[in-house]
Amino acid sequence: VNALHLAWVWFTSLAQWQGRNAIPTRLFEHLAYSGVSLLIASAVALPLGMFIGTPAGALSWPSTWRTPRGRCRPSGC
Amino acid sequence: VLIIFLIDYFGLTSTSVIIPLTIYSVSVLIRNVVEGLRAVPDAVRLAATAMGYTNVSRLIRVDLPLAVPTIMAGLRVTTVSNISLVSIASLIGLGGLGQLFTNGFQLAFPTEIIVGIVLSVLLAVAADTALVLLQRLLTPWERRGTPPRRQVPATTGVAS
Repeated sequence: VNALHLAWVWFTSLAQWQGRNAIPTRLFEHLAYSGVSLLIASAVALPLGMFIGTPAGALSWPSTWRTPRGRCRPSGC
Repeated sequence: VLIIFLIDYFGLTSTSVIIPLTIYSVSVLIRNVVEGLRAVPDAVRLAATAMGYTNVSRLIRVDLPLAVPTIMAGLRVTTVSNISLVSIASLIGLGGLGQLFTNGFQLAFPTEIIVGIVLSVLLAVAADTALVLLQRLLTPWERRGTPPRRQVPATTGVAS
């Protein structure tokens, strides 16, 4: 009961809902960080991947990372 | 770990968090883009070329749509792991939901940690769902569910 009460007090305190340490603020910060880094990552990885992935691409993938022709099967690649 | 080195250059700013996250995401994502494009059948590629696509327009209008499932799979993995990794931003005091973890540890107050975990999971699930919906929008030809049945003529004709 004591722990529940503490949790209730914590949840209902104003500090969790307003200001620098509020839960919504934290959530938004989190979203902003991953959103920004994902956007930059897509902006870099998509063109680069298209460049490497096409047969016409000038760069070629290091041969050890290349998947073999066809799909891997349970019996092996 | 990279964060610790980047603090020297960018200080305790969001840049030092975003750079390692971006590098990590790129490394996962690029593999899927390449594999997705590699998986496009040669026959499709040759047919597109025969239809008069130039290399670039074929890449954009034929190869890329066919690679969308693989790319989106990579994007989903990247997004979810990215969201979980943002928590370490709190180790240098930059907020995010990880701040709830560190605060909860410092105060020995589990409620705050649990709230942080639950919110992280919810965020990841929400982002993943959004990406699945986006993929359905991008690849309308892959709708599951049975296509509308064509009316089969009742007479038993000669099967060709």
